Amino acid sequence: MREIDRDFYSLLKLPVTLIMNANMPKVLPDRKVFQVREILKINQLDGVAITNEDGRLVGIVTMYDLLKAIEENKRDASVEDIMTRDVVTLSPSHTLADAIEYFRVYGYGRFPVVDRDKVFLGMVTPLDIVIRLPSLKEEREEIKEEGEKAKVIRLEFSVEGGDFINGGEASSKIKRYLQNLGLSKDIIKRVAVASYEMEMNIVIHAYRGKLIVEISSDKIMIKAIDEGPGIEDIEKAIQPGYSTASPKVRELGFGAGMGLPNIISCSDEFDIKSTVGVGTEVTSIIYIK
Amino acid sequence: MKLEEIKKLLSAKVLCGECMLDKDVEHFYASDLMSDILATVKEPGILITAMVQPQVVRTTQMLDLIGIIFVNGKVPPEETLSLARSNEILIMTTKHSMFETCGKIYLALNKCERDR
Repeated sequence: MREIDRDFYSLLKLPVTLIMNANMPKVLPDRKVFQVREILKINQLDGVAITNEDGRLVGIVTMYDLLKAIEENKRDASVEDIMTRDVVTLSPSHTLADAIEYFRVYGYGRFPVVDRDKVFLGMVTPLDIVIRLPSLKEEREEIKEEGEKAKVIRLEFSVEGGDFINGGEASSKIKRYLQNLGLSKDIIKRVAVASYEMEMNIVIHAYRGKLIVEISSDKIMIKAIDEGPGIEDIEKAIQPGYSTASPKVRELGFGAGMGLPNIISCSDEFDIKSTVGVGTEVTSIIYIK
Repeated sequence: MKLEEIKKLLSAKVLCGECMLDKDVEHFYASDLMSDILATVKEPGILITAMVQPQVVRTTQMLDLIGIIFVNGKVPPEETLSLARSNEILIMTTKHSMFETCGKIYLALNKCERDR
């Protein structure tokens, strides 16, 4: 397959939540037609979700619906009187490919993404896909797939030290990727726990680092390479309960000294190298068969 | 035991994932230490914790747990809730302490067991 094709097809497997517009204005059902028209104009939108107080989707309305209502002298009517109530929705488990298929099959201009409780999460339009695809490609830079001939898939993510808000994001992506590959639940869980502990170790202890996953036909290798203070006594660090984490980190529920022991118990092979003042490299290998 | 029963038992408020209340749960894990949770969880179930930061949802997600019960009346910040919503994880909060919550669930589970 040509490079560009492979890149494109792997993008299609990403969840639709990555391309949806999550920053939509909140519009309640009792808003007047002319008000909603203003909201759309200001936000340069062609359509918007109508949600109730607790954020659940009750309908959608398009600029066309609004202009038609205004022509019919219904500018002071509530938007709920003119909105479309029976809305086809996407869920967070849908992929970009599913969204494209929905646009093709239904021919609608937009699909709201809602969770299982119908809480509105964001809107997807064909334009979102076109506009956001380049930024997804950047994200995809992290997910570099190489060497199809060697049948090794390589995913790479950068992880920032101290970033507790996004810490775990890379491991989520890795987990989702493995689920799409159809690996067994046990393997996915071991990889997820090991990669998450490694990622959080970078967040907790290092300045910055990389999380690399290489998937081959018989094993998965996870490697965390960081720039950081390094580990003075590795023997101690791998003992359950030993930790050098700060009180602040402990307040967040980490730093109980179980990170490295957890990684070891998930791994079939384990290695750790560290240079004080330079950084640490942790490798975990999990056999697929 | 149905999550709906757990909700009643703890007079809990569901913050997201309401549609999962009809699910049956047999395994409960109670801890505030993320690594302990990562080390001990074996079966899908519910996490009981007093920690409300987004990492709790991440931890839950890595382990395929289906939901979280926050104790001591704690309400998680929006980042935690939105992460839970997009990963389809149930969240409820109860005024009871960790000790009372675990005690109530433990007794109820034992009763379920006896009734069988």
